[in-house]
Amino acid sequence: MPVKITRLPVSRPATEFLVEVLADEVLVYDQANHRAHCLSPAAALVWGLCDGGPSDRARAALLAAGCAETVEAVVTQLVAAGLVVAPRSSVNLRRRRMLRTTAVAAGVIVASPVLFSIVSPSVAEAASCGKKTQSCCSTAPRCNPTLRCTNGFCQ
Amino acid sequence: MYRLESFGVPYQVEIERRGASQALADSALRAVLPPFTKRRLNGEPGRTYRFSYAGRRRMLLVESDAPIACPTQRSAQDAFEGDLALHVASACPDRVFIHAGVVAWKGRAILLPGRTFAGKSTLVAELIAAGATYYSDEYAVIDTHGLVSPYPRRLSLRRAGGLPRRTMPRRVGRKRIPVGWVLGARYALEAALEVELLSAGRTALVLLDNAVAARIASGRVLAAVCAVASHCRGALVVRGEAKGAVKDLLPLLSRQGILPSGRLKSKGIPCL
Repeated sequence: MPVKITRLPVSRPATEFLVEVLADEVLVYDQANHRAHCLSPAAALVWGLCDGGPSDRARAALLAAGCAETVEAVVTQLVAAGLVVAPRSSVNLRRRRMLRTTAVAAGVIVASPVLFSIVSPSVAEAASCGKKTQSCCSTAPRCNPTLRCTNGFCQ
Repeated sequence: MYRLESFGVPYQVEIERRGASQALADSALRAVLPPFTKRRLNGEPGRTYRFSYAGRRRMLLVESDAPIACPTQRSAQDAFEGDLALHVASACPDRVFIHAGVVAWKGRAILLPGRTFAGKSTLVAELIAAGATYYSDEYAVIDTHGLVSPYPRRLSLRRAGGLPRRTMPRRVGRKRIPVGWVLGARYALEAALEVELLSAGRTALVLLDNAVAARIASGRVLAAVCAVASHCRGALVVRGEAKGAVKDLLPLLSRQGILPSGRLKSKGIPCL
């Protein structure tokens, strides 16, 4: 059952993020864990207000901007993405942990109404690999399905 | 010893000689160097690669004192090509390399970013057959203005069990051009063709997800992908086998207003 939020969480220090604004969306790169997030207008609006103050301000701002999302839905996803630190009383911790684990485990774009996240690739992950005589890929599938990885090469 | 430079990244290659023969022929070396490689006359040598013999057929490729035992000369060549391309892509000081296939259509680039096995090369080949101009089947090289430069390696197509077939298409782009479309490619064997339109933010995310230096030059990469995404259209394409997929994909993208309408030259299928 959703918990009503009375106070907004606190955003992590701005120095930990790289931010680019694209029309009404905001792209956030988290330098601490190399995750990137695309914030919808509603998420960007609420994230900008996350200073630990009362949540009514965010409710009013969402209403004024014509966003249909609730503060609770947006904050839950901001917490799951690790962009804000939630007050202990405001969000169900078990749910938060579960959301975070799911997002990280996926390692790819996670669909949600207000937030899309990726784990940015390492250099090796963005490489071509797995063809015959090429090096094996660092993640599965390590080789083209018709080949086997032997001594680091696809044969 | 060869002192070389690709996209502003220096490196040198040493090849062991035994009498009249050498561990790697000059022509074999030239075939796997990144496009637009030139000799470097002075400055720091950067990374060093060394080809040496290890038995009658086995080769040893040594990079920065880390030897890689390669079962054949071809695998040494491939290991060198892959490592060098990745080194250049990650260390390039003024361009951003996105793992993507690139073709040009009507003066604008179609980017097909995707991880390995996403079917980029096959899709690129099909688009070329459909009348597009070849730019790359490996990297989209993007400058600070969001323009894409050609990276024309020989197009490499996987074949079940055999060595990849590698050919250079006849129409190869030479100029830097703006990006018109980003089509995130995902391949699933049994998948029906699906296209999802993306916002500018999500298009930037798709590009970032395939950027080689995303972790080591995050700020520069983020700025470049946003410069591209703010001026192009984006979609995520999940597809099955490429041949059928392209036939259906291009008219579908055209119908959805993602690509402009027109007519193919080679097959006469209304698309693009």
